[in-house]
Amino acid sequence: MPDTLKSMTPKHTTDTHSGNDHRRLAQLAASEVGIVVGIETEETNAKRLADLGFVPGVRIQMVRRGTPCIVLLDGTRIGLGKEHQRAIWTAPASPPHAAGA
Amino acid sequence: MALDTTNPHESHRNDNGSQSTDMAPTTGFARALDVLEKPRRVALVGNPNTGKTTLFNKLTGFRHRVGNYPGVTVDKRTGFIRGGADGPPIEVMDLPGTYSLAAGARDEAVVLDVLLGNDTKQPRPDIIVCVVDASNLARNLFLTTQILELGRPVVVALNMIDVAERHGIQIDVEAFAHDLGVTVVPIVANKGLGVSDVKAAIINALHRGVKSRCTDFPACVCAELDGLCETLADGGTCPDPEATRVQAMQTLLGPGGYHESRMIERCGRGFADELAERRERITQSGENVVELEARVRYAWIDRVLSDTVIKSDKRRRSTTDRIDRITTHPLAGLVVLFCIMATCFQAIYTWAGPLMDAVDSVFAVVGESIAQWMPEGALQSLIVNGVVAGVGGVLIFLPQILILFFFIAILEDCGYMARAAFLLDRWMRMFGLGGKSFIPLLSSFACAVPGVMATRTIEDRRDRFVTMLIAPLMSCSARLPVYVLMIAAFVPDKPLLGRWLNLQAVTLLGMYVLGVAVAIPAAIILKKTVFNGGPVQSFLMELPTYKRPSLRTAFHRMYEQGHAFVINAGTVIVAVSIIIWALAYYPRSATVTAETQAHREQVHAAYDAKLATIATTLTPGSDAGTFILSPPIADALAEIHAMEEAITQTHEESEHEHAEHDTAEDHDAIDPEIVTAMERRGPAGRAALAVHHAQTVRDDELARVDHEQSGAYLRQSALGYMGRLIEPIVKPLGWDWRIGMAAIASFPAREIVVATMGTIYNLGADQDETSHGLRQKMQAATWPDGRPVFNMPVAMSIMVFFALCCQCAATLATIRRETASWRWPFLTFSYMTGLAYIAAAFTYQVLSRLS
Repeated sequence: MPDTLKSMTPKHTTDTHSGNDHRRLAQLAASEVGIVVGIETEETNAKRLADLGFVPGVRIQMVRRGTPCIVLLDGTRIGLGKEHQRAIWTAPASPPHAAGA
Repeated sequence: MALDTTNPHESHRNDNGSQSTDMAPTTGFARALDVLEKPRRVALVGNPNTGKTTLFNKLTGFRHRVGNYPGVTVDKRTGFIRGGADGPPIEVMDLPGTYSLAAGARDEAVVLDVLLGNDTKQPRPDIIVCVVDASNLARNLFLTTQILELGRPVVVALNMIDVAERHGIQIDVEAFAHDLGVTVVPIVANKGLGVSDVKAAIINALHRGVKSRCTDFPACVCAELDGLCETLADGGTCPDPEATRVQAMQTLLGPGGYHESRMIERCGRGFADELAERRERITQSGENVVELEARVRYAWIDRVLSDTVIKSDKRRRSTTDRIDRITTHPLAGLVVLFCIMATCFQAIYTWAGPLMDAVDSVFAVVGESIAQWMPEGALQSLIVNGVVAGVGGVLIFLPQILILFFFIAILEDCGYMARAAFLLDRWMRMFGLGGKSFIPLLSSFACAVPGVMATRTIEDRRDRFVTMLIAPLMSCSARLPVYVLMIAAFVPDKPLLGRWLNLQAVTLLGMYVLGVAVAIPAAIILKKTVFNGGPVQSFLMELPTYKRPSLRTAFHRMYEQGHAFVINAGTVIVAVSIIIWALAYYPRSATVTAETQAHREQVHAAYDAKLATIATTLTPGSDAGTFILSPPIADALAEIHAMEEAITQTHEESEHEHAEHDTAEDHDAIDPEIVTAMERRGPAGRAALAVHHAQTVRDDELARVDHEQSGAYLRQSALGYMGRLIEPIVKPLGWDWRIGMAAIASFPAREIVVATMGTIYNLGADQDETSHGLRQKMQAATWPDGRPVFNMPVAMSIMVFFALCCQCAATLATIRRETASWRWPFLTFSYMTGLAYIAAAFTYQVLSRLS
């Protein structure tokens, strides 16, 4: 598979996330709500997560932390393993101060 | 009816349907002809846990058959519904649950293949019924929007509308149907509400054309899609423009996925380059290829839902949340899981026992009566020892398997199985597997065949294969007879730790633990060697809302799985049993036949001589034949038989287990009551006693000759030859050639080893693990130099061998079917046999030095 096919576009690289208040899903506290901003993983996994509904802009809630964890996505509980939790980047649902601008 | 409130406009729905019609209406006559010509086919699709199968069962009235999709062993359920009052039957297919047409797991790949007609053996479905969970619309509609582009009439069944209402979700069904451009039917499948409406909508849709609706993709993507469609159409791979477009989209927007590899395989290397170029152009226009489809579709879904669905946020802490607090807790959850498993297995062993005995005795009776009814010879032996024994050997496991399936069906139906997988995921990761491997491995404790089949739901190919390869290490029910025989005969019934445990029970438990203990390193090693590399598939599983399980569904699933087991495993076991029978039967040595015939004649002659002596002592000059029929003797004999029968019966009633064996063993010692009764009859009585004794001796002798003959035949047979051939190999295990031969003979299925040992030790084949006769014969068996063959170390080595070996043709055949290659069953057999050999040799060598 040529590298050009990698799913990551520049806006989804770690650098972009580290500059603002974007956090990996794994870092969400119990019952904290976050908004998905991007998925950063290998193509087939990313496609799977996206098709399941983990698309930018969607609200998710951490129900049970751990590996795997449980998140609530649009009323559905989904168990997610370590790699998926690292792959999903979230922004705070109600940012204390204007996030990212 | 509750449904009327959500959908009061039946007529409007039909209007809706005709809005989306753009095909010229056909005449009634032509339509009727068309309907007559080809059977109409409906496919049910939907996400997992949407009640798709429940709707299917209600539509078809639980009457359907389960088959396989050609080439892959994913269960394909098909049934029929009546097409209107006088219409032709319509075939309904229940497709595996999937979230997207971009397939991950094996069973998901089937969905698109069926919908696109990639599978040439069956035509594309004429109508697609999309089952969606009304309380979870947004995520369910993703698949629906994909389905809508297929160019087939679609009926959306809005299931669990009652749950949605309880959650405060109000759906404007009319507006919703209008936006989707298809008929939408609100239903409550588990209560049967709205099922007839679905039926009507299907029949209605059959008579209408359809205009396929496409979600708007960005212009740059559409351009690339059109280009790709041309390439695919040139390759002649897809039946029509809509199907081509869907195939193109899944290929283009699913890098590294199932469809990409499939199309590259079909269209060649140049296609891969074209695909890369097209994706590159999409990326350059600022789009993300991987997320594109999801982003566009969910945006459209959000727009539709914001117009048609009102969510009053009534979500309180639901029951599911409360249960989950315990069941998904890393510690409390494990305790709950352990309790559930312990209850299930306890129930399986308690309930299955009597049923297994019943199956066993039925087959014993059938075998015996056939043996009596048919003339002795090769055909009789084939039927009794090959076919009946083979079928019996399959059906004996049915009770355990059915009960296990029943529990699994209940646990799956109520939503617990996903929690078990979730909970065990982190433990299974430690040896390179995932939580989804749990159910297949659990099933394997009853039988590895359904276990191997259950691996289909595992997306990761490597995880799936490793699970399949270690599943036969779980101690299945076929090993139990071997353990019971060996433990009862050679492991002392000694208490351990006071009176809490005993050595026999601990040994049995140890055998179960052994399988698991070996499976763990086996999985780790397989994962590190044969199945090395590639990205890690991390856990991803929906945890459905808990619901009350349906008994009817559970019984139904149990029936289906049991049926599949009998057909799949059964045919293999019976076929291989017949081969092994032939190896054990041929060649028949004429010398043995002649010798035993001579032996039999000697026995008869001795009896005749004794009878003559008795006859002449009583009434000199009388003939033995008339003597035995003379009234005083015949009467006395009849009385002896009657008394013996009565005694046996009272024994059986008082002490069911042991009476038979006591009377069998003390055949010569006649009951004192009978002796006194005969003494009272005088000389005739005494003569009758003597005659009776002579008869008993003759019968015992004849039985012994029969057993010796079958033993001698077996020694002379191809199998006996093979046993002697491998004796040097099995010697380090402490086995003699007879055990080696029994191990070969038990290749089709382990449990056969008990019957084979019975035959080898000259007892006739009707032995089971509780036979005292076989136990004693085994304890009495010696090497040529007089040392006993069997002792504790040998028994342990046999048990360890059978715990770890893959003596199961059915499992190997199932692995062959699931992997479509002989490589994996071969690997399974060789690694397990190797392990079994080494472990058994180790056990024997260590134990024999210790004792």
